[in-house]
Amino acid sequence: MSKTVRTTRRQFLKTVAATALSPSTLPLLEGAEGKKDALAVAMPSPQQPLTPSAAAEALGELVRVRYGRFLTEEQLAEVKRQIERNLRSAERLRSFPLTNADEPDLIFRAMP
Amino acid sequence: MPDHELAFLSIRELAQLLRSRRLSPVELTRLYLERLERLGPKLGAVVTITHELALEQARRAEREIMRGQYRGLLHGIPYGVKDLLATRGIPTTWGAAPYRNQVFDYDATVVRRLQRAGAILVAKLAMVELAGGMGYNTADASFTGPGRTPWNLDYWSGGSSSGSGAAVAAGLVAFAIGSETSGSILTPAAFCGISGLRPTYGLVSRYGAMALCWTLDKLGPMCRTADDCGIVLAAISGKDPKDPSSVARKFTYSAPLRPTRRMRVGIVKGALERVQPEVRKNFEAAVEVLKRYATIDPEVALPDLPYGQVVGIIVNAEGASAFRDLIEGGRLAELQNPRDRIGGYAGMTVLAVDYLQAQRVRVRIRQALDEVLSRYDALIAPTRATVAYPIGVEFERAYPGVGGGPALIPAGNAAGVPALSIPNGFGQAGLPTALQLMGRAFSEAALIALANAYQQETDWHRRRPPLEA
Repeated sequence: MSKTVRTTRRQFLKTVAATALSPSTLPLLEGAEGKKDALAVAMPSPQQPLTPSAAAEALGELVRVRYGRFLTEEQLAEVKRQIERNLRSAERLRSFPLTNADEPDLIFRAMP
Repeated sequence: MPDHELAFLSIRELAQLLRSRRLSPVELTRLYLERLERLGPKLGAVVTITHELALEQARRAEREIMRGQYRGLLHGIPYGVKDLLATRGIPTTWGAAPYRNQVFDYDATVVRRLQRAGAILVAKLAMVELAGGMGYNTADASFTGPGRTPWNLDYWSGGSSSGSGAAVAAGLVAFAIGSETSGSILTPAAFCGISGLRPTYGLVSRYGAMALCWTLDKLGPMCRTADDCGIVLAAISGKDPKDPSSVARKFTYSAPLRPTRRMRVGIVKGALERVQPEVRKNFEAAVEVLKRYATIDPEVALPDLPYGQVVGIIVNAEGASAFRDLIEGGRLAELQNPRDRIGGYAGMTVLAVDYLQAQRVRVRIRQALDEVLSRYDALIAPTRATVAYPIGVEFERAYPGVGGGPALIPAGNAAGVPALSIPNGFGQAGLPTALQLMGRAFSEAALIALANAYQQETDWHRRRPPLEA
């Protein structure tokens, strides 16, 4: 078992700052991510080597700060790859044309 | 009738025997309890056998039936529930070690409704830990061990309703309740060779069910026939004040539905791309049968929309929120599957705007899919591109080069529409293959009618696994 993960506040802020300078660097994966089933039920898809982007690294550092005591370096690296997959999915959704009138599929009810 | 034949009868067949008093509910319950004890462990299908409760309910059913107080087709029928449904005083483990001693002091609405119908709870059935919400990637993803399909014990029973699929297929219960967030009823139904119905979102109350994803979770029947799915759905559907997502619609079903007119069926474009050869062959044979009842449109394109991404983002965000205490307490480490021990941490970083974007795109998905579905009684495709995955192999490495195709399961779940999986033959390693029928919201009757017609013409649903040979 490798050592659990620790970082300093300075390291974390440095990574976040670096990310802020290069936002939206995520490649848009047409098709590949879209063919995946939900994470709720595993479905085979070719394992692609994923290099976490700067944004994934930054969010991964957030995980390190908050939960690093529960994770090994190896696990944290996998968390960052998962974050990268999420970010790619989010990027694909961000490219979907929506207008201000498009409400989310949630209904708030005032009645208790 | 020999026990091993009795155990595999459909609900409707058992109901005839029970109502006419040719079979005692107590006798039938003892038969299933014995099979659960003897065969359940081989399949990794059972968490808790509710021995005392079952016999108590069976005796009550027997008394009532003897007095002529017959409640309906489920009266005296033994069943099991996926172990994410609360049952008063009986452990409800969610398939996960951190919850293995959890006991609720109330029954889930579905359990209550089945009790009211006179059904007999004989077992809490195994499941993938936390219904797979943390991203498992092998069959070994439950504190009870991997679920095994009774058709070949070296292969997985599917997830996350693993035990529900295996127990029905092996004749350990007459029917089971499963849950689906995205594929968790249809996949084990396909891998175990049974009939599984994912109802329209909101048709069945989820009160008392473990929440993985509030806007995607559904509960549904897993049975030996499509007709049985109709019988069970009728008992469990309907508005429940305790579940605000439940809708004021009741599904009614008594006599077996058959198509009353020539139906319209569309084959999803690309459905046979990159599937196993036997999956293709069995699907094509099934289409020939369906042609007797339906006009087939050979190529219907699904709208090109980001179904997988929408479902993925929603499951990640809602799943992380639902299990935030487990994640922040470092207790994911207690889970069985190594991928599950870290999956929740990535979910904790999904941005609120990305989650809302997914829910906004989802509206478009519902509208676009309904526009296509409104032209057909059902869209069809193989339920899965492959037979069950071998145990001990990562899913993505099980069948290299096979899989993919149209994302029917995430599309249907994102839109909240119903789907029914029925067995349609066998493929590699003696494992079952299956056909999926998907329809508009609240079109369960049409799907069942078509599936009933198919099962009247075929006997795949009557085949029995070689478990006791």
